[in-house]
Amino acid sequence: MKVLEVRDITKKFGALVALNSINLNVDEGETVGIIGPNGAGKTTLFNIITGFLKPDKGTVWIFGRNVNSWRPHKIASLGVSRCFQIVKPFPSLTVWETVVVGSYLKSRDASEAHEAALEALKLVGITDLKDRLSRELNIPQLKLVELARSIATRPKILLIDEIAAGLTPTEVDKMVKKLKEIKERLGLTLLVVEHVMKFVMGLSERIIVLHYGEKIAEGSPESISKDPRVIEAYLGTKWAEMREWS
Amino acid sequence: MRFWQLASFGGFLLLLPLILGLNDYYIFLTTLILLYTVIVMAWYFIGGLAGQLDLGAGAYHGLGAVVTGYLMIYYNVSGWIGLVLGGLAAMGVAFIVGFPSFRFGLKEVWYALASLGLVLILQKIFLLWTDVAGPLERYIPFREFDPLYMRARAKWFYYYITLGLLLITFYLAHRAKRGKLGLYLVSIRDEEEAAEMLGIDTRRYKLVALLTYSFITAVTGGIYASMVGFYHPILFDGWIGIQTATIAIVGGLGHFWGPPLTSVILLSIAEYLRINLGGTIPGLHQVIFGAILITAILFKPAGIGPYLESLIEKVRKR
Amino acid sequence: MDLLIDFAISLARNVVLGIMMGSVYALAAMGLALLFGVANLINFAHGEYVMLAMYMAYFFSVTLVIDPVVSSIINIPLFFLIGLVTYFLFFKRVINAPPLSQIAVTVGVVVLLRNIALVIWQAEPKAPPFTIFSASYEMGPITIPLDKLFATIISITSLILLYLFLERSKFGTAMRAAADDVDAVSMMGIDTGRLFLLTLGISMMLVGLSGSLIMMYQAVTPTSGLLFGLLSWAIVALAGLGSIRGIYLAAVIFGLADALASGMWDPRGREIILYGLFILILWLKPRGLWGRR
Repeated sequence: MKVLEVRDITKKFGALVALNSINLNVDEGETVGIIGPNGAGKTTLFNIITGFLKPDKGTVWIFGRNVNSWRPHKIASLGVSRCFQIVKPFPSLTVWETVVVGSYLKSRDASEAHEAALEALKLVGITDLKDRLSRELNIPQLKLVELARSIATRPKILLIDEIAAGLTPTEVDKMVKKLKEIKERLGLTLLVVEHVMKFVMGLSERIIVLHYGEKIAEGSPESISKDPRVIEAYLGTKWAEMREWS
Repeated sequence: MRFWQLASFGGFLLLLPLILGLNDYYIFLTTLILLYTVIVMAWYFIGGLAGQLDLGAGAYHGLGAVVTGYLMIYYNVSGWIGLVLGGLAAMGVAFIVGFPSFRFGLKEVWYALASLGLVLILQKIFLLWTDVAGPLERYIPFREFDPLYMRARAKWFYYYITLGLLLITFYLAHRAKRGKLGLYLVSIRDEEEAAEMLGIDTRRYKLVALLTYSFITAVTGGIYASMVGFYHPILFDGWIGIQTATIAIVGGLGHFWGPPLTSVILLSIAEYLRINLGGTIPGLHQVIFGAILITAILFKPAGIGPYLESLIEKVRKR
Repeated sequence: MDLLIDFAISLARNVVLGIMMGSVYALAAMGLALLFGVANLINFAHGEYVMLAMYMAYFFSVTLVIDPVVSSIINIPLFFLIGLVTYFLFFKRVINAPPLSQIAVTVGVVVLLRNIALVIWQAEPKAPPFTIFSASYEMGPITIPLDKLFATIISITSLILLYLFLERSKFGTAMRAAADDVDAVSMMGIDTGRLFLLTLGISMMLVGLSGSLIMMYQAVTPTSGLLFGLLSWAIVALAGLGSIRGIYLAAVIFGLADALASGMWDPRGREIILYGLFILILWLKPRGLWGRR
């Protein structure tokens, strides 16, 4: 079943074409990776799907509904959540409070929200950070808090933007394992933007390659890593890394 | 222990008029201080929790005074009903101004200036609107003691009304702080986009904070008008909003008990200075008051509330 | 028919008056825009400084028996000094602080200045007793008071001088660059502390001059600061940051609104129009008409 459809999306910032008639279909339970060099339009695509930006052309369909004119909070209550590329913590809240903010979305009362929050903390494995203030945490920890608060909204589709940046190779492996587990447990559909090739290749079932706003390739991780157009796009920038890791 | 602390504090507040020897003037001053402290506490919703630097308290205070007073004078409507209607009128104005402001994403200095502008606009509208207000004071009919009409000569009557309002405001603020509303508002204040992505209708919740604040502030205006016995466009005073925000910042922005505590202390000092200096050199007490404000902000930028909290923490650890 | 002619004459008069008033408002607004744009400092007390400058103009014109316009010769260097003193007393600590701290401290300055004025000059409006330019120039049915015309000329000349300074001098170039990107400027090896100090000084000089010139139009009270503060912010909001010409045009628009509201409706209603316009601008044009950011 198709849960997300991006149809012919174009977005311009002044003269710069950030996305040029992009199409993308995501089925329920799928994990789709989106890769591409800096400025390829990955985060812009996420911003359009979650309602932070309005496309110049084209439509976004989520669970068969046109969400173009919807604001982010409404899209969120439809069952879409997102971890931001640059973490956006709530500095004056504790980790526990942060996650409770998320879990109130689908809870009728405080006790239900607390239960859901606790569950989300356990799933992500940061129960020990519970009483710490967000402003005391480092970036990798904050990324996990973002993951937990997103999960607490009990989403059906989760968008993850560069969660593996700055992690060591062993930590990347752990993160892939953790996300697979969470996905399994909650029956999520995942959309992943990532620079760390090892991470996307390990997690995704299908990969989309964006290059200066154009979709230049789509397919399984294996076929993508052999696609000549992808190699060309990445030459000089990411080619070396891809060779190293794939 | 905690019960006795609260009980003795409550007893003190209840008996304060007696302690002041039923002196109308002192009770009047105390009531004024409490009235402005109510506004500081109400500001907790829009400023402390939602993080909007609102300077429009004078607009809602004035509206409450005009609506309550007007109904009392010309329709013989009880002040109690006037307080509610004044509050609703203030909520109406707050919505008309707040909705587009949040819709168009007004923030920080621009939000503050717009709210200050609103006060002065309303002041002039009521100055020109001679059917309702105009340049002359409108006097509310005198009653020796008429609790149903909400008018009395003795000031302790207003003291207890204000005390009641203060307790209700405290209760509401405390509930908000502990519950979903407070958590949502703080998350909006801290990081609006993230809050939105967690499914929070940020504009709606900011409006909830603004409307709560405007309603309570309007009630203070109604009480004020009935207590002094008249209303006038000058009650749309930009100064009230500036004073409220400054006290809240000095008390500790977003802190729960710091701002009201600071309000009581600073306003008592201000009144003391006014009584002792105001007669000799008008304005001098305010200069000293301003100097105290600036010093407090420059040397304790986090605010008095958080500072005291850390002191208490230190004493306990010993 | 006569009514129509009367209306046309009144309109023309007020348009001329509005343009002249706007030219003077532009000075005050320019001071605010510089400080906000270059030093990123939110000076909530800007209007109170203008109020203070008006009082100083009044003070000099009474004690030294000089015209308020002439008093600007003293006011300009005096306010440069006041700017420096203020910087070390209040602004230095909050120059890189979050907006809220800046607003808090400068709101404290509002309280202080307003009440110092109240202590010294009391609440009654003060106006300079005379002007040497009491003659006026007749242009058909429209009378142009020479003092106001002179104020307009001084104002426009100063803005042109400021423009030349920003465009041609080394510091001016650095100031313009800092408005875009402070970090880049400090990378170029320019002492940003000194740059901010100079910006504040120039901002205050503009305030001193505008205070003297506004005295041509109206009396001053301790609460005048609110009006000129809000008016300056409104002009900056309409213009957006980035160009002197934008500020001047926006100031003229507000000058026209002011003159037309006062002259053709009700002087007490001018603030309804001015602040109403301000709020509408904030809603509809948050970046201003000519703003780059």
